[in-house]
Amino acid sequence: MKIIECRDLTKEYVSKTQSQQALAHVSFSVEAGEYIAVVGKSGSGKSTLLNMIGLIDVPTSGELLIGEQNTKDLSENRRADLRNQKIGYVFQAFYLEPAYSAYKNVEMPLLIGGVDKKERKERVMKALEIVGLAHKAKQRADTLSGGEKQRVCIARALVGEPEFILADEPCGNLDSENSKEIMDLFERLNGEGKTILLVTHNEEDAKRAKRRIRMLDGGIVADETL
Amino acid sequence: MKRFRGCLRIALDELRTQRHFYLAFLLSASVFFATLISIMLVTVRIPTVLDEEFADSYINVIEMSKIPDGFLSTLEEMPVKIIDFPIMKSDLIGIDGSDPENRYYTEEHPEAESGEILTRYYDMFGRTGKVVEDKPNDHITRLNEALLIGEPWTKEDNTDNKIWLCEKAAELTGYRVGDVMHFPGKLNTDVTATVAGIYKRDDPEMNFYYITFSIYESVIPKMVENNRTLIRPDSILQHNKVINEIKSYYYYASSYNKSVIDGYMSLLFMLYILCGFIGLMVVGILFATARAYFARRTRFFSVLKALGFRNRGVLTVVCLVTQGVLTVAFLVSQLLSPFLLAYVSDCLSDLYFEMNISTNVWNGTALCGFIAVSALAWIVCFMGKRTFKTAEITELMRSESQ
Ligand SMILES: Nc1ncnc2c1ncn2[C@@H]1O[C@H](COP(=O)(O)OP(=O)(O)OP(=O)(O)O)[C@@H](O)[C@H]1O
Ligand SMILES: [Mg+2]
Repeated sequence: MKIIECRDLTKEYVSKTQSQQALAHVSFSVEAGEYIAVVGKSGSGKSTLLNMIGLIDVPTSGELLIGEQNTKDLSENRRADLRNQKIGYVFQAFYLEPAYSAYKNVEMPLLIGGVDKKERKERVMKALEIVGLAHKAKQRADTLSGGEKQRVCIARALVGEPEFILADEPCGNLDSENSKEIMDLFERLNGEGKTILLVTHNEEDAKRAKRRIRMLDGGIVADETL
Repeated sequence: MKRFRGCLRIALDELRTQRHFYLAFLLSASVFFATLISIMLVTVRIPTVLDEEFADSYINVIEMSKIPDGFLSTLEEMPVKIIDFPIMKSDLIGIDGSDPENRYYTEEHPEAESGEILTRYYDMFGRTGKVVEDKPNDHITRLNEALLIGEPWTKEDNTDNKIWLCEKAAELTGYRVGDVMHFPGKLNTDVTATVAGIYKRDDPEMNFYYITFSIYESVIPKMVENNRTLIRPDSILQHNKVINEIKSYYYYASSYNKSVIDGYMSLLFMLYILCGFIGLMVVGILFATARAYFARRTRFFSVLKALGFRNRGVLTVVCLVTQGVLTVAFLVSQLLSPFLLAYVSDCLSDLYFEMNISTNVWNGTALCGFIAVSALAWIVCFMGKRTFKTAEITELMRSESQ
């Protein structure tokens, strides 16, 4: 079952002095349960692609289907709802709220979605258990280590039970040991059936994925199943 | 609704975790609330004070009815006659010998002596009064003075029911000399009085009618302080008109009252202006706060939006947070404002008369102020709607990767 389909996606950044095509006619699709690594050198458009798919940025042209839903002419509100319900986003810089506890950070997507308190509690604790941080639920986010922060971020991406998870260089701010833990976690999540789309610089990490998409100058130059 | 509950939770967490940011605003908002509440309480009190203070000019309405026209046949032709005040029937003024202070004339004649010529009150009639010792007051006397002093009449005085109207009252009511008026007396008795005369009324301090003691006794129940009485015709339609005319006539004919009232009116005007300025200040403060809060938390909102928060949600949280700070500020101000109010009303009491403002600030006016400011806060937040849409995670990512 296709859960993501990009048709001729293009993104152009236009400023007064220049215009830059960050994404050029990208077409590909993602099946449920896939584990994809997007690689390419800096400036090749990986983040741009992920942001399009994550509905946090709008393509200049082309179509993007999430499930059956064509996102082309969706209102800002509908896009927000889709982000909330179908997409889990893991950020390189975590973007946790430092003054909130790990629990509260993970709870956010559910608060936004208007989930009942009881269910919220169950799901947050379950997500924290998956990433192995249930015992640190009450700890403030700014007192967590980098690896723990990223795991909280992953728990936050998981808690809404999204259809797929997007991760833009999730290990970019982590040392190799923590990176390994995070990559193990992704592999485990994929083993449990989660669809994962991951951007990475690290060829080692990319090899752990089942499919690898290589980008260059805004286009896909190789798409190989490993 | 569920979404709103989510917003509410987020706003509460924001209030808790960002409280240091709000502290300064909270304090200034409290002070400003206290000021606003005090000023509002003073402002709403002023008209009431004026009413109370000048109530005696018009509250005690005595009903009068005109005699049927037929009875007037012989009098109809009579022109409205300006007569002398009958106090001048006699040149002799009785001074109660038992009154050691001679209080009638204390100002000019601290100790009026027998045979002395008194001018006070009589000037306007071109007469003077001569003091005669130990003679009872056998004349119509000024009700005004009478009540200030005590009981100048003796029961035997003036058994006739007579009334003298000032020109204005006669004009407004249509009574003429010789008409018979009906007053509801004590215990629902009907008291009649003959209009004995109409006099010019130049002195605004003067009463607009004078009655004999017998009427006073039978009509006015235990009335000690209200020394002025309105006359009104039987026609209801005319009634309000007359009341209003007499009211304005007496308010503004009286130079003293006029200056006092004018003083209060300009005070009132000033207070309204002040409230307006405070209102403008509030808009400014609230706008600045909402913007500052948003600027401080743009990152937070960007992330929330990436997680699926709608723009409307951001707006709601900003509004709720602002409302939360206002609510706390209001509660704090409730502790401050009694002191401020006590001080303000103390200052104002030197002006003309006691304002008697209760320092109990838990009341409708304060609540109204709070609701008004809250409404203003929401409007201001909605005015900044466009700004609150600008939180974008892509901006955040880009600025942080640089
Ligand atoms: N907001 C923007 N305005 C202008 N140009 C942009 C903007 N965002 C990205 N670009 C450009 O688009 C191209 C692709 O950027 P993108 O961030 O997708 O690269 P990337 O593959 O993620 O690189 P990296 O590995 O360094 O993260 C770059 O050349 C970049 O300069
Ligand atoms: Mg990137």
